[in-house]
Amino acid sequence: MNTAGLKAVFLQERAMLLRLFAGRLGNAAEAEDALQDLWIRLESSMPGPIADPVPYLYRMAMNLALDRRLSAQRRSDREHAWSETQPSASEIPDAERVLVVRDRLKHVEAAIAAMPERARTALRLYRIEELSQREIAAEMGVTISAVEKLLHRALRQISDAGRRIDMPDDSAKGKDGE
Amino acid sequence: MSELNVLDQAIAWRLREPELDADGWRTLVEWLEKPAHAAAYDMVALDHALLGEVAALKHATAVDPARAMTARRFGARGGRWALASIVASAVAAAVALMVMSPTTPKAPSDSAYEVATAPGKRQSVSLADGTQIELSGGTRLRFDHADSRAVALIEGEAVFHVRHNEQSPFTLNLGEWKVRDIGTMFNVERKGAMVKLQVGEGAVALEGRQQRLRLSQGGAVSMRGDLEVATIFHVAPESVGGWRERRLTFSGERLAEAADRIARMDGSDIRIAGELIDKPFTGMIHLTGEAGKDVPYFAAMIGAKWRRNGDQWILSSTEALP
Repeated sequence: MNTAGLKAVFLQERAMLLRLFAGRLGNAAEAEDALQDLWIRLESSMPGPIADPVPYLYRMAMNLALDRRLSAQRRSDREHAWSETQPSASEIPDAERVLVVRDRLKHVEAAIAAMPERARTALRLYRIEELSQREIAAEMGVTISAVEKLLHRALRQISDAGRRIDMPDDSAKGKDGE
Repeated sequence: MSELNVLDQAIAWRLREPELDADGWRTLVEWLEKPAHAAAYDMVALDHALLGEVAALKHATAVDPARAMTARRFGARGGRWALASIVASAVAAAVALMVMSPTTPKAPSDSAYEVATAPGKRQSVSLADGTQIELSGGTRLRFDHADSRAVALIEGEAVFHVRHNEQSPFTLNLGEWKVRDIGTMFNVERKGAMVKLQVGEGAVALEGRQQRLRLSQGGAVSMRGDLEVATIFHVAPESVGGWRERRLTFSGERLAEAADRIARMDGSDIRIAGELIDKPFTGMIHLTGEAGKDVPYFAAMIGAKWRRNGDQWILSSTEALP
């Protein structure tokens, strides 16, 4: 599968990719814009043969959507920080980001510090060295399922750190078949 | 379903993503259309992004370099074969194919060792075969006393002057990618799964899970190991390894990445604030090696303003807030 083939897959998956962007970005206009961006990236990259083009395309799309989500998040964090702290004018642009991200980072760091060494190692291999779970399992000498459990628990602890659990309950709005 | 479950589901999706097949992805897209799911997924994704900034993870020492090397060796050439059979995914299948390629398995050894430089420092390493490696700051390389023709770049940037030997090709391990030399000088940069390689002289062969590339003088490639995206372009051969003269060339890299490279050169701690972090940067910077001069210069070049917070430099947009 080359770039031309990838574009064919893009066209075939277009509707679903648009749903992905619409769901992630919250509005149709931005979703179309992101889809356009994805197409441009396909044109400018020259991937070699890709065995499994559909997941490849979705991974690209998801990364793109995440980048946009995160910069939107930064923007809204800043506006939030602005209204809460009202710092002096010249200090704001960096003060806010440092403040908000530091705050979250502090919780994340605390959660990681409290973890057993094994969990930290797994996290490092997963996030910093970006190894697959299969590779982490080989590196740490444990099973893939043990790696998955270890990472899941670690990510959950990080997620919970410093946050009230105020996630809406699915069951309140009906079953979704999980 | 308990309320905790939405978050657990988001985490499970995130962890499964690298292995998802086409149907898996379509299911994930549908799952994400529920606002509560999307919100949970965002939380997980934001933390995931932040994890990259956690010092305790970045600077944690590997379990034991010798053992890690051994494990990776087995992983790359033998162990994966057994594991691949239980991971029913295309990715695993592709890896299995590569494992079947006729590379001679090498005995694991306890003779692995690492050479690392602190940010702002440099070091040269000469191997027994005459190969020379110049390490930039913030760089980690893994060597093996038992096999001087196999080196791994764990992170950072280095220039390789490889002495060619038909009988014993030089191999540089870059995670998902391997470089095989055909008599050459080349520069490699690695951060996690991101790898950039530029050939100054001669040629190299590059092997990923599913693709092989051959690059000759002036050839450059930038790759993400997990996505298998390889973008090929051309550079001026004389610019390859320009960091040795404190010259850094950028062509559309994110500012965050540009700041990392500068930090590697002069040991400074630079934080790019706000949306600036994702802005692309094209240009050439000649550094002095003194953060006090280089960072304000870089800030001026990208039209940002800077301030200091202790040892940290904070670069932010000069644009007024909306």
